[in-house]
Amino acid sequence: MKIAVCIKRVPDTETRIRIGGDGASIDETGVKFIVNPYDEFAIEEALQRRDKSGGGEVVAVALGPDAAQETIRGALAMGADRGVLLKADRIPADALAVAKALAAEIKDGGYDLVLFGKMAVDDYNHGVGPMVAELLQLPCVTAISKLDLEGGKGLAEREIEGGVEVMEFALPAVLTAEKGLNTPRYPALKGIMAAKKKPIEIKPAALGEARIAVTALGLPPDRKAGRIVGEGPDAVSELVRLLRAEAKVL
Amino acid sequence: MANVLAVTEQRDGVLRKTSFEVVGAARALADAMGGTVDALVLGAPGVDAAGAQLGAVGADRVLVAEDASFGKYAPCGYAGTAAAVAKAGGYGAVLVAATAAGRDLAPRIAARLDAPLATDVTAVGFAGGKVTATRPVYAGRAVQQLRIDAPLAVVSVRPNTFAPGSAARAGAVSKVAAVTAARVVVREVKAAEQGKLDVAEASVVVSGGRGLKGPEHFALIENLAKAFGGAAVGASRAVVDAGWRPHAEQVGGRR
Repeated sequence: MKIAVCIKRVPDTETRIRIGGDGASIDETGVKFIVNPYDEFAIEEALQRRDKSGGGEVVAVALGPDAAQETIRGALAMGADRGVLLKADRIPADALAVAKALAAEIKDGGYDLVLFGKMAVDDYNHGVGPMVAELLQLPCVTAISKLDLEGGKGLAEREIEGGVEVMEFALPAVLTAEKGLNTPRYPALKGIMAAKKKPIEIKPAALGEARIAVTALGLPPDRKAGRIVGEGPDAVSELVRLLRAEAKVL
Repeated sequence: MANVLAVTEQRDGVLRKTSFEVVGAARALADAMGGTVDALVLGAPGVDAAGAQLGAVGADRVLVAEDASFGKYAPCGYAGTAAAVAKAGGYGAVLVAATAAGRDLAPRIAARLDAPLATDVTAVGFAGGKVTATRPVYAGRAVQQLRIDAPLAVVSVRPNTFAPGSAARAGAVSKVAAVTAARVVVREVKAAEQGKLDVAEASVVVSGGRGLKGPEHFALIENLAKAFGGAAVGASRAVVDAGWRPHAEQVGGRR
């Protein structure tokens, strides 16, 4: 199988967010960047599908600055075969602009599967994967937690509120990964060494026009502190009183 | 002056709570834009009866697209129909609730309309002739203000954030054509335990975390939720990651 995995370089989820000088983005000084955690499920799935099908290729595609080469190297260390960096100084806030660049890259690639994480942990958009599918007119299932592929057909499960949807589609298709789809591997030393020799093609991203402007980025108001009412049976009457009188949930 | 299209969501022919919220959000936005609200209902034949409820929460018109394949969520059919209606209607904004279905649907509609998308917003407005939105990013550790530089914006609104419209409108129901071409079909929906409430829709959530020490102890949380007269069960990211509870139950910022 020939599989594209689209990955994103994002700030580590433990990063303390500071607002940058422009007042519309984060201050990246000292920020550690990682591959978007949901994309790791997509990479793992791609590797397993390639190996199970007995051959083919996994191509890791990232859109971003030069530094996103490191993100691609991470995917190569896990076992992807080669990388493509669609270079853009900044990743636009407009998901459709990003999707257009990725779709242009993937369109004539002859891919059986195109995988994404269900969302990026920086912008929480959930948008680029299904947009690429629509632009390429391919079947798409988002946020999948289970996948069966058999003879050019697929069944994927996605958790919805209060249930699980089972979706049927034909390949080629675009899928976005929910956590739980698999357990991503850690790159072995051998993989890390091998990744240094794997090719990364670098070209400018054919971004669509960005029509979403971030006019400001701020910190959220402080959360109200929680309260520990007490411990043991003695606290029950006070807890019930507060749930009734203050929280008004009883 | 521009009008707003609110795309609603039903399950088994019953409109979800978020549908009233999305019409309420559309009402407020349309009032700011000086336009009207059309609510789109997608469902199996007979769903027009549910659509009749939407005038009460602020829909000027209710457009109903019925098809046998629309009973369950139909990603391509819903997106195709919403995009066709949006194109024909000349709207300034299309609003969708950011539920499991809405998060899947909104980007599809945006791509089909070649319109920019703002997702999971907690506020939406209109300033200087443009749609604006507020949304949490970085797992809720920062808040973004957006301006959408296009004549048509697609916006998904966060559940449990917008109030249903308080002023009733005519809400006259009419039928629109369903676009049914599909590349993906929902073969079945495995329902969770009967009577279980969605975290996204519940007004009370009883949530547990690692302090429970094991998945078997979540029965305590379930019983407590029941004692509230049907609260939803929530779970922390740690226990969802550990496989104790399904992802749909996760609450908190790091979703």
